[in-house]
Amino acid sequence: MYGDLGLKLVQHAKRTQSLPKLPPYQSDIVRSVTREVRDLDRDVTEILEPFNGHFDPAEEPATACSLLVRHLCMRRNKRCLLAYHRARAEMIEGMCWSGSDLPEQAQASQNNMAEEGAGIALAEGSGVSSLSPEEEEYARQYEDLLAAYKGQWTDIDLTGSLEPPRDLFIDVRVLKDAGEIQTEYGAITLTKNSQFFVRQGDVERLIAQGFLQKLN
Amino acid sequence: MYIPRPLLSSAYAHLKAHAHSTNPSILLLCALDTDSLCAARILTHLLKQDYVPHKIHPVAGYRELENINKTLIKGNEELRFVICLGLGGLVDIAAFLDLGGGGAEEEEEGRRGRVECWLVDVRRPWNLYNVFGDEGGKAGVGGVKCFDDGDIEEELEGEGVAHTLLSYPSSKALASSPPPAHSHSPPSSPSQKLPLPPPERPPPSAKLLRRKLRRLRAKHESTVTSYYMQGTWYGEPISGLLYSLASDLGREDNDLLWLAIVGISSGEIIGRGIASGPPRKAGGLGWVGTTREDQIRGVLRDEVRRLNSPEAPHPGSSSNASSSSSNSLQTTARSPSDTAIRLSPEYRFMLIRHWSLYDSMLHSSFLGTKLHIWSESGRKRLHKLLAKMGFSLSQCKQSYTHMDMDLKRSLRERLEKYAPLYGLEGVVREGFVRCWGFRGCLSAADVAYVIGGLLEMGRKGSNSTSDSTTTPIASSAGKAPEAPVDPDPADETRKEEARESENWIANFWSAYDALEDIEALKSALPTAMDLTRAILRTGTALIEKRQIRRLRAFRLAVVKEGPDVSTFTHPSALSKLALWLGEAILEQEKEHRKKRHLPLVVASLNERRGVYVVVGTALGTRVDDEDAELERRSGRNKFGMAFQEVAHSTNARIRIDSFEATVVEVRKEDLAGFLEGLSLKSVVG
Amino acid sequence: MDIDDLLQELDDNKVPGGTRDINDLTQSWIAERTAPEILPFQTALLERLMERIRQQIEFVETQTGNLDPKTNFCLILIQTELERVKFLVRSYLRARIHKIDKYSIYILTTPSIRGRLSPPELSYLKSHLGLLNSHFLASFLRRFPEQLRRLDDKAGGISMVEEPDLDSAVFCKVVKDIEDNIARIPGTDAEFRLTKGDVYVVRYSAVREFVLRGEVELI
Repeated sequence: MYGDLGLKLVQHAKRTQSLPKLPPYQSDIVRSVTREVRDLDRDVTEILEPFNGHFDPAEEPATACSLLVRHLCMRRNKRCLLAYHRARAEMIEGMCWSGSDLPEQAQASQNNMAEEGAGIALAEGSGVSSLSPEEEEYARQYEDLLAAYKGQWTDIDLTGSLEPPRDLFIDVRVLKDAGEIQTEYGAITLTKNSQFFVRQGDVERLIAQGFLQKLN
Repeated sequence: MYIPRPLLSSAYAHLKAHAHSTNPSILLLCALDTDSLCAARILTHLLKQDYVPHKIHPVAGYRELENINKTLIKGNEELRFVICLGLGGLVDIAAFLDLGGGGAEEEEEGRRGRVECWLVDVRRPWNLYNVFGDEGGKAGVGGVKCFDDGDIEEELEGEGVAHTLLSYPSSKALASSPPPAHSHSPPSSPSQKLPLPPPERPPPSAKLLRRKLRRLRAKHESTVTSYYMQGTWYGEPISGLLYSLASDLGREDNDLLWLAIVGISSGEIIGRGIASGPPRKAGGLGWVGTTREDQIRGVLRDEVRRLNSPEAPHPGSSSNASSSSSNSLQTTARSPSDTAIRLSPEYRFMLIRHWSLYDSMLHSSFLGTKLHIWSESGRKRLHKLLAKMGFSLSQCKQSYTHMDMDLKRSLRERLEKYAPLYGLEGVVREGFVRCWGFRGCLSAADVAYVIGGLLEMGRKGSNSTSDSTTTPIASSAGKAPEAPVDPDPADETRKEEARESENWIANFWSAYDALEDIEALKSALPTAMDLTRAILRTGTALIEKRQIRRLRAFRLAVVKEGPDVSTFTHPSALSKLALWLGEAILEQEKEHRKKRHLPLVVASLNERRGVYVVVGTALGTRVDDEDAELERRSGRNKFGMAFQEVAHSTNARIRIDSFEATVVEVRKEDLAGFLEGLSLKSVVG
Repeated sequence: MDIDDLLQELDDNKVPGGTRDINDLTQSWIAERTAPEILPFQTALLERLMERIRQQIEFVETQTGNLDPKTNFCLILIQTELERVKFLVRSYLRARIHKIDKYSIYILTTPSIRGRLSPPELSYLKSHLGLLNSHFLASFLRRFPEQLRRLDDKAGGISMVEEPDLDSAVFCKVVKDIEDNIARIPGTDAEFRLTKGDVYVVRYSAVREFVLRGEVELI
């Protein structure tokens, strides 16, 4: 039935929005829906062929109707594809903003080096990137775009926390070794199992990335 | 050098002035015990109020301290202060950590200045290098500074002179060169760390002078040696020391006071008799009292009264009612916002507010050892006591809070009436209790038990995963009981060690969090109860089955089977068991009118790592009446030295890693050899 | 010396009007977060604020070595305030980026609205749309028939261009005396009078003009 697969894509898109991780790209469905559009288009061409470009809907209501249905189906499929890709693109953008290094992780998974806990962009257990190659490319380019825009506001750290700051200094506990990080006024070595009393602004990213746990 | 008590606040000002204001330049190293934990909490409170960034790192033992030195101290340009809480006092810390500033090193490191190291440690004897070495840090940042609870100021004058003269024989000639090199690997005896004075050029003329000098040196050497030879003992709990710092800064409050009270109570629980030091003459907070313990409790009492306004009598309630309420234990807060600390008559029972009266009496080491609770007749004695008091067993076995109100009110009076018949004088004594609104009410001893339980056993369930891995390792150990054949097991052992210390560190943070979270404290009560049950169960089994062997120089108990073996792989848990056993033996021997008591060695099998954890306790640490000074000295624990000597004189594979000098680890197969070596040392005073 | 004195001392370091700038920023931030459409970028205000943030960071850096406890306390206050201002700016910019992403084609194709973006925002918008376009093209549109590849279709009765809903409700407060103070609710005959100090919950479209002129503030 025309449109079934499109519906599936929209359902995927809807589900994606409420998932913490990006689920694997549905390349099969996308390909099928695209093929459906091409088939429909071929139908339209075939139907119109006998008329040699002089088709009058009023004379042939039945043909006109079937043409309209095919046109609507194509547009609907296009909207479904757009909705699906748009929803995923927004997720990818969100990851770029939150600082999960997306392209690198995708690569790591391709090299089968998927380490535990690093799999924000990974399909569950599959070890295959959940991004399509086009999406990986998009992620890289968006990352660059973001970096360029962020560069206008170096003192602000645009990707910083959107929680209003309460305290200048906070207690954080180190959950994973994060090595030495540069801060506004120096460097800190974050070793697992230690606790820090530091400037909140210096460690916000690491909290978001799960290296640190904020206390109270 | 050392910081005398009255100068602690200026040391803190110095720290504040030289610490980096935006980056953590202070590293707090904290030992895994309750007192150190409370001290860390107090210190971080102060630092936070001053917006001083810092870092806390728990440390399980010397090996980890070496790691931290490599990763966090050496070459760390941001670092300015290392503060050791509950560790480092026994070793020459400047030789252990890369604090920089040692002549050539300084030039090499170039940019990095010297790191100043504070030693806040309850363990004695002080390594004299820490106390009297290197005075160079006076002006700027740098050097080793020991927090003095009074011991150094009042007792170590002679040792100081001797040490200084021995280290810098001809001070003028050698002033610019660093102190003589001395070994700094942890498993070496403090006495061996005494530097052999370098052969010096004799003064040109006088042979006589040389002989005089030699005599003088011998005298100094003997002064220093005899200081170390006393054994190990404890000074004032460091949480108390840091509280007095807070108080000098005018920043004391109920929260800090409570931390100090808990820290000090924990010392009593694990048998860190602070009575091993003399009462303070004066100074500090102006203490007077008969024993040091009394002095400290006295100060706490005064502080509680000062910071918690006396109760306003309840409007509407008769004076009669309020006086009777003071007779029964406080188990609920007076109001939702009531977080006051109160003095209260506390029974020396276990967790009475959260258990049944019967259980809390049964598991009390005070009561248990005096009533010989491990035997059938001992338990009958407990029943008889309760019967005399008019308390039915069914009442006693329900949770204390639900017990008959009249019984609760009369508990103290009846207990005090009948206790002397069973040698239980002093079963009621003044204690401290705090409420957190209607969320809970705990005594300081309760909290100390719970925090101790968390440190040793962890949150419930967190260890269950690691327990499941026991089987494969145990079975492989059964297959090949003797030495490891393939190279793998050594690797496995190291991994196992790492996993164990990882667990302990996780426990540390659970305990750290619970210390200021009443809900977490409450939910960890069962852990404390489990630990006490394990102690009672194992102790009873050892005594009942007569498994405590009497050797020539000490008594020996070995835990290698039963449900609780894994519990006692933690040295502190094992120490608590040893303490319980020690008290029990002491009671038994007192009944037989023995005057001298053999010390006790308790070993516990850590099957997974194939080692025994061994703890040595000196019996009779409590100061009784006559000749306190002598008793005090004899109460010092000689096992630390003995363990080290055995480690050097036998082939037994021994690891000394714990900051507690009286704890060692011995390879499973080498225990017999180790004990044989130990029995040759005189560990009795 | 109490905190007010210290704050006074801090203020002496600032250019006059600093407090007003902060207030203006706060107002712009609130408005940007509540208005359904994107509002004009506060170019001058942001320039002044960024310059001062830079100065303050520099000041903190140079004074960090200072051991005077009083200075240290001042630094703490400055840093705390800095973090707050940085948060406001960040949140303001992010709120705008959110709208720019959401209504990209609408903004780009409506000249009056397009002029409200700062140059970096505009170039971000254009690049982002370009990226999306080529992403969709690469993912599936390239396999589509030619006539179906456009992204701003309006055929089929449904527009593919998302527009802000100007009829969504906002809270607002009249902050100035207005001469022509009759607000009309579009599509109805309903009218109401805006008097200084009044607070309304009303469709954004009804007060849009007044908001853009600064006579009514979104709250």
